[in-house]
Amino acid sequence: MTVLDTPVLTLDEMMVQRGEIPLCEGVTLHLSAGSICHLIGANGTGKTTLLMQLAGLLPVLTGEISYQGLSGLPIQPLYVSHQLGIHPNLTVAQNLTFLLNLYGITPSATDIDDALTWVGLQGFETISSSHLSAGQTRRITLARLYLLTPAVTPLWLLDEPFTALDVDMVARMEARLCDFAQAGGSILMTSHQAVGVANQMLDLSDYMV
Amino acid sequence: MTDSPMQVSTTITANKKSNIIVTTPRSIGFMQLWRREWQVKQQGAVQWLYPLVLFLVIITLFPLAVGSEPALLQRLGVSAVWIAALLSLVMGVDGLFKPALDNGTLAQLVVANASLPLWVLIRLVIHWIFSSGIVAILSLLAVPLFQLSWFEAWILMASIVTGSPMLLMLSAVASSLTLSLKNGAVLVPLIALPMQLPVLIFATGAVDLFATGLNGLPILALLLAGSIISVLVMPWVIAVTLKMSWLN
Repeated sequence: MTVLDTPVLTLDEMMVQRGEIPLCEGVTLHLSAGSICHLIGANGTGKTTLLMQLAGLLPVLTGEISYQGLSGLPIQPLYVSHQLGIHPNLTVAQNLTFLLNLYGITPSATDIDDALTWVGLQGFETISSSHLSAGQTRRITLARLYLLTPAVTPLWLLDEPFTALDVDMVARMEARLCDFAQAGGSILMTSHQAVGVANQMLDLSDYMV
Repeated sequence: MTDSPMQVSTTITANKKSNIIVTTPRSIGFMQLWRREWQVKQQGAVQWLYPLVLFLVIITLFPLAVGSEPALLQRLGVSAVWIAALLSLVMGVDGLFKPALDNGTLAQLVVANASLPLWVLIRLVIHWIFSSGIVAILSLLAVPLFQLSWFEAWILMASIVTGSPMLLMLSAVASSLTLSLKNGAVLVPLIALPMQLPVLIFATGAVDLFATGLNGLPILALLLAGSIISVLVMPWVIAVTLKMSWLN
């Protein structure tokens, strides 16, 4: 684990705010390669807002953020949220291909096959995504995790990635998060369940306004 | 649409002194965005067929209601087809960006550093093909329905082709502005229609000029110029507006 202690993302005195409303003040975090940080806090403390700010969807108005040694927001992190980025008109394989294309990856048929097998959707390639259940639709988005390496996206921002997943899938996800971190990736994730593989924790309740 | 041989070619440069790994991100390309938007349209035919059916219904009902007096029908034909074209265009735009915001596609594009103006342009071009592009062809039905001459019908088609891109861009701007509102779709025609009226007046005016033997070409050229400018400028304006959708 020589990659540990390599700083990836640093938040310094950052304010979590949604529009004009401040939720948390002075949030400080150091995320290195190999970190799996579990972001906790009661409902409404700003976990999702913090991830949206880091993803570049909401502006950061107060505080310093540096990524890979440079001041500024993370560039092209992976962002998994409640809105999955799945279009119901497209088939499972088309949706997954698009989501990977976004990161400059052109997956081969074998890649798609492997990723879908990993999430338990083998044989669903040509099925329209509108025919799938909520949990299955989530799995299309999560199938990306199988193919993305720290070389492509060194930082994963996961908002409740375990929602609507069965126990077996959660175990496979945790193993994948572990592998990714060992390969030098960093993860910042929220979850209301305990995350066994997390090696760092950030409690937003401590910073509430 | 061939597969571009794009593979992961992310370069990792490790700076030995500071021990910081810097990755160079690669974004999605034009063909991949185009293919995705094309598939979305192609596999969701019901959504874009409704506005076309509306167009057909209006231009078919009109002669039935007015009666079979050829002189009257010929006089009303051009305006009736244009109003039907405008209504079907306005009706079709509520699905332009709202679904992409709701299902998270827009967020994924922003996070993955994709070129938002490019995506907007591709989406609007494909939307135009499947709406006004087909409407322009269907407008030739004015020959049997309104007893227009073929010459007038071709000019009418040309006026729809030159004017509708500008109409679509104006509607798209209105649609992106109302995106974060709950009932934004209702506001889109209210914002866009006043700006679209001049296009309607110019376009029908051009066809009338040709019909009376005068030269309407400058007006068509003016419409085309407006369309070209709006296609070049509006995607950037819309992209900026779309990025603010989460601020509500």
